[in-house]
Amino acid sequence: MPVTLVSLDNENYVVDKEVAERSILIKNMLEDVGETDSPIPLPNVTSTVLKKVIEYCEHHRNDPIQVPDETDDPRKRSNDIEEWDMKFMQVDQEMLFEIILAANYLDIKPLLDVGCKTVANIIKGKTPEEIRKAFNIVNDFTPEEEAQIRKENEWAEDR
Amino acid sequence: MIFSITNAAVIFFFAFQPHPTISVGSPNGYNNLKRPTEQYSGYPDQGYGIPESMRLCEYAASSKRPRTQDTAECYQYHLTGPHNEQSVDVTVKIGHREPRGLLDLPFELIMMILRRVSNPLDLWNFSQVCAAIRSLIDERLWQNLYISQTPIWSSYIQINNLTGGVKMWSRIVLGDYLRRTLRWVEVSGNLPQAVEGKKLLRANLGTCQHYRPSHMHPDISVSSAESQQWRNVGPPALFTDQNTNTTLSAYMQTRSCMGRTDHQITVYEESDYNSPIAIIPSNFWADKGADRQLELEISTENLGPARLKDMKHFPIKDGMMRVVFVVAFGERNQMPADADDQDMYTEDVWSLLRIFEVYIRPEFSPFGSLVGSILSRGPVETIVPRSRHIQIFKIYSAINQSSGQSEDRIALIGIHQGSRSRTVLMTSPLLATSPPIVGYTKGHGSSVRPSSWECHVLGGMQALEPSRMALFPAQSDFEHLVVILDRHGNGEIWDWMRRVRVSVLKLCVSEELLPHRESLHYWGVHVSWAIEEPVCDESALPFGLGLRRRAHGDFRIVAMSCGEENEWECCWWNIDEKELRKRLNQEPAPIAPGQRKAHLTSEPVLDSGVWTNELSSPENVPSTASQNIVHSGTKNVPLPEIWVIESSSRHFENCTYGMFYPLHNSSAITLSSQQLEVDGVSGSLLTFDTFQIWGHYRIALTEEHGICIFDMDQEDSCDILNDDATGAPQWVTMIEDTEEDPLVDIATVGNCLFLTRKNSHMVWRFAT
Repeated sequence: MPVTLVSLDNENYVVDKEVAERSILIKNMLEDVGETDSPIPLPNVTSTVLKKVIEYCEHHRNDPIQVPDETDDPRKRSNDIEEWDMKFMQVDQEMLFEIILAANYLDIKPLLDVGCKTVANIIKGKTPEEIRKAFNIVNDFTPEEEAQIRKENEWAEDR
Repeated sequence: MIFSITNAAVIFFFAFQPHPTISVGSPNGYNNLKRPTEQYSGYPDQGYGIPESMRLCEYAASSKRPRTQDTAECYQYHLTGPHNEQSVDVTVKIGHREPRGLLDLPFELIMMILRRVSNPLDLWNFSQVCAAIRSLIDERLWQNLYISQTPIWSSYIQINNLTGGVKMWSRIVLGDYLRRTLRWVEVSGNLPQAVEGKKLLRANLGTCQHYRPSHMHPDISVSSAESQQWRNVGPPALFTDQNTNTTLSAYMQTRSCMGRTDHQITVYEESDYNSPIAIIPSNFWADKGADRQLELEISTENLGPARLKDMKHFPIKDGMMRVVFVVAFGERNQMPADADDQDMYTEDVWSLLRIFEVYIRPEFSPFGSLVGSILSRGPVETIVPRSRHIQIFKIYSAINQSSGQSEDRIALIGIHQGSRSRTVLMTSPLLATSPPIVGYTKGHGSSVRPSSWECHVLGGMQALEPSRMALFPAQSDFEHLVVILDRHGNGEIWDWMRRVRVSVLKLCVSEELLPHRESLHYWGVHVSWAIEEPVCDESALPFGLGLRRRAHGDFRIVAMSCGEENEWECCWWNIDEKELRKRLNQEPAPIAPGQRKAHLTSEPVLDSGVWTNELSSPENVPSTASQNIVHSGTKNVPLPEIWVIESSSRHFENCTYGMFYPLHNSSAITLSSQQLEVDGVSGSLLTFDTFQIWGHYRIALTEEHGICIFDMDQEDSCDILNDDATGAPQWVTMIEDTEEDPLVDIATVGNCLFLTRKNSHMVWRFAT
């Protein structure tokens, strides 16, 4: 059965129920209201982002549902990203953060996980200054904090 | 972003609130995200790019995020400084915008990202980006990273309160990461035959301190007889006095001169391993007449190889420091007396012990530098044990039951090899005055006379047959606990001061491993902190050993075994500190009215054994006949159900540079025929002389090539590992000048590995 999703900017997207139900938020709502033809408004998601999210859900429509605690157990955690997901996440940072927010809002754990891993991978191998540059972050440390950091780095350099 | 703070100021900024009207609610929806609620602390402008107050306002505003679709909304906050010295009314006006950067994400999502950072160096760098990120990277985050980095070894680690909190955890994780990844380089060129064809990695010993004390490298112009070098034998003994927080280490040294062997003990302070504060000659403990206990004809000639087994120093009084030493003399090898051959002996078999005290008065120059020490001798006690397989020598303090005063005592724990092996415990007040034995000759020690020594057998007739034993770490609250291990890998924890069994250590192995275990022989056990906490005290010496007392921490008992050819296994038991304390303080099971109550916290009354200077055979001394019974007066009081702790284990095949061969290391164990055959493969592997455990590393000593370090936490899907499965599980130090200055022994002390070499010593700090 198709489900109609309505974005913030009133764009309608008709998707298969199993695709829409990759979102636990929508799945729970459909279970609560029962079968309905009414469109589902998603006023927190713009059409551009919703389109991306639907693309992800379409691709992963047959994936098993992720066990909730799986990503929380540090022993089972891996930063490997599937090739398709990696390509999917090759977007500008603004879109990347929008996808993360939408995944969080729509409760799509695998997408949220991939988004967080993508950001974590951007950090990989970068110095603090390079990370600042990559994310446009201002160095707001006080001189005292700077001194403390220098001291910590001296310890690390001695290792 | 525009902001200002004055009394009743209006702040306008774009807090992240993209689209406030939510048609579909969700626990994970934007509007339900929780942010840390923090109080205003500090003044509005502390020089941050974004004032602290601004961020805190944002935090507060986010928790009251409106659910209307208004484009902007005002909130009033009354913020108070940390000491109520300043309060401001702040109006926060929230507009709407899309997230532009990482810091615009809700903190929960930033935390999720931080949890995905899998490289400790990346997290370390990320923590230095800005104040907001730094405040989010907390102790738990580092701890989670530790668990993900050491998934096997940390499998049962509980939340563990380390003294230094986040700083401590970051150092533990980053230190371990650097040890694992940056401290080795691939070795090329001439490789030892035993490891030819293997990928050999060299540990970077750049941070290792190498000490070459001048007294061990005499002037070559001195006559050849006198220039015989003193050389170290065995690892150092160390003791930290908690009152003065001073650590002394002492090395036994020997030299051969004109066919004679002489010994001396060199004592160092923690701050300087180059210049000893005292050198104690052998006549302090070997001279006839100094011994109050035994008039035995003993000279340096008829003493076997000597090892320093324990020491304790006391706070300086009247300018003198009292130091007590325990020296054990082994069985001399019958090979021709050569300078090097004399060190060949059977470890853990001791034919004579000497306990003696020395008073040291350090002398300083007008400029404050140490110029020497005046030594005065104290009493000497000689012990000739009949059970000579002593593994533990421990000077300790205990409350004297009759006087109620604390007294210094000594405990010897060993193995009696009778029809079945038994664990024997011998204790006595330190240097207690006993009547001298006159006319004693070896072999005529059967005369029973009053003595301060007591002897007990730990466990009843069904007790396990011990092969190795180890004490809980020094500077913990549990030094009175000993782990006893049998050759099959079963163990027990005993409170040797109260002679009560605390726990049974059960070896659990998977079905997959069972067929591999028939030939395994457990030969070593080690007890350490579950998390090795590095020294992080700013006031600590820059090269502190990390020997300070730790209030809390779990423990790990690691047992090692070897099997046929190059297979070996380690198993470990995780000991929860809280549970351990609970068990030790546990009341015994309810007893019948009128029966005398025995608290486990007080010394159980056991029949005291009569002891002589020649320690009698354990067959004649009392034992805790039923292991779960404490003898209380004439009644037997049942203890609570025994605490059984199950092990984890890993089996390794074909992935080691070398092996231990217990045959070389101890005669206190009976080897199977398979074990004897192990010798046959020694040509293809390095021979490890001894081992230590530090964290998840097995550190083995090879005389010629330095130390081999094996990471026992290398991740793999199965319990049986071989070299095809992993990348770089182990590395060697490949110390270059080992031919001139071979390695003698290794010891882990606090955060450090002490490498004792023939003519020098090295201290390698794992963590500082």
